[in-house]
Amino acid sequence: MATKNAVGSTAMPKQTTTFTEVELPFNTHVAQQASEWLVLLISGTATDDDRHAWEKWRNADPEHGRAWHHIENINQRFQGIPTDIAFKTLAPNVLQNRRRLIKALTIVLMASGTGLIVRKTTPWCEWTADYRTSTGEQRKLTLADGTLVVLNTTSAIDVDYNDTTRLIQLRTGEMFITTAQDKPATTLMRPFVVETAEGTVRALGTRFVVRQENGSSHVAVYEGAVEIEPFDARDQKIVVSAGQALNFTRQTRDTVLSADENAIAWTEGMIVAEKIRLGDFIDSLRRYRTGYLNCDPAVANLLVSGVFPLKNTDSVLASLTDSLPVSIHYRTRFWVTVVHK
Amino acid sequence: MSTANTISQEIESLYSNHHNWLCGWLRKKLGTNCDAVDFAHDTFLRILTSRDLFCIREPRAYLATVAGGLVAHHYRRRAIEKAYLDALASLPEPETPSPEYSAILLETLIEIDQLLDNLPLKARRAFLLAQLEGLTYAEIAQQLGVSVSMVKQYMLRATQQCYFSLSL
Repeated sequence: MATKNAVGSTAMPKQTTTFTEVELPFNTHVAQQASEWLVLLISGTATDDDRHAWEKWRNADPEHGRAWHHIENINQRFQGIPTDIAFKTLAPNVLQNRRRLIKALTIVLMASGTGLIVRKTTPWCEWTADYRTSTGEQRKLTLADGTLVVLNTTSAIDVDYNDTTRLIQLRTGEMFITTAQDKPATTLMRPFVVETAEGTVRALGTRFVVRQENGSSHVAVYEGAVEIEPFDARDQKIVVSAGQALNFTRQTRDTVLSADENAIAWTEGMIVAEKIRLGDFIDSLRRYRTGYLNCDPAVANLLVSGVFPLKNTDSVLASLTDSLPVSIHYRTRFWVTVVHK
Repeated sequence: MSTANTISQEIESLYSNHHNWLCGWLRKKLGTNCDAVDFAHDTFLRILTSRDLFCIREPRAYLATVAGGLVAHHYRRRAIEKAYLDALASLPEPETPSPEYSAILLETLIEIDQLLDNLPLKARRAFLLAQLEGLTYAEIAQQLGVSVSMVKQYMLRATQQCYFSLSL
């Protein structure tokens, strides 16, 4: 199938094969205005006044509304595209540079982060530290032995490496760990252990996630295996291997589930939804923003798919209105509900 | 002005008078006969669905323009496919998308590439960083090594091009 307007025509609006067959061209002036609004609204610095002014503009003339609808239609194209692949395919070189930058930053980060206390007790690698993230923040850390830790939103850990163990206490939130092979100065390999309020998770050379929930812990393993031991039920000790996930409390553990690859998209600053309930999606999103965020039960069962950057949860919410019959109701910046359109 | 009847008549005369010439033109351009016949076929198909017929004054120049566009589009598509496969190959295995999703993704990327047609690379990058990564213009400015006001200009240009095919 071919695109239209092959030669010498006023080819606007631009059409691709999946769009409606006949769309009338837009007045150039309206098209320019609509573009200017879009550029302002996605700038990351638009104010509430800007948004009100834009709404006023959009409602002032049916042609404005039609132009905006056209923009939203095209915007759907951009949903759910992995940034990494898009850049390598459409605009090479930028992202790779960025990745390098992030890598360079994580090394510096350890010294400059907020709430960071490093207390060196010996000149060797025996030290204690606190790391935490604020709401909406993700942070990557490299520990003394080379182990990589990515902290998700609102999380805190204590790192306690000594002669016999490499211990991380997860005080709140969620972390993703890629363990490094320990290089002992003397003899024994020190075990790598994560402790939650409910029990211990011992790594057996691996990539895994530990999340502290209210009264329970969640572990998902993506490579290698871990051994889980609830504090009050040592006999319930269980090995969870790659591709598996498990919830446990101090006394019991649930049945083993499969680990969801999408569930660790946050380590790349993304949230991935594949046909999940809007209600559940909003529950996940809530973790990444401050203030009240809720979803009207009338729309909670709608299904959401897409890949969304966590960087700006307001734009995630806004993009929901493109594909679902919902609108986002802002009472204030910190009081937001998703309602039926 | 142009009824269905005259359109089909025009197509017919266009085809019978110039089809062989177009195949020859394409053969010279592409170097293979088989592709030339395919592209000629696509060219007429494109014209049949485009309804621009009534204003054709220079039929061969017109055919050459349409066919040339299709050939360029074809090569661009192949280039994107290759870049896409390279990008996939560089992913760690667990992140590789399913074949079905992969095919959809490729089509979407090609569509976006067409929307961003002719934009300078930095404008393209600025636009993608804003749309896919949700970066603020200050962050984009930093990454591209340009000023924030430059990013705004890129964004405006990209937006007008992508959504309304307006070129500045």
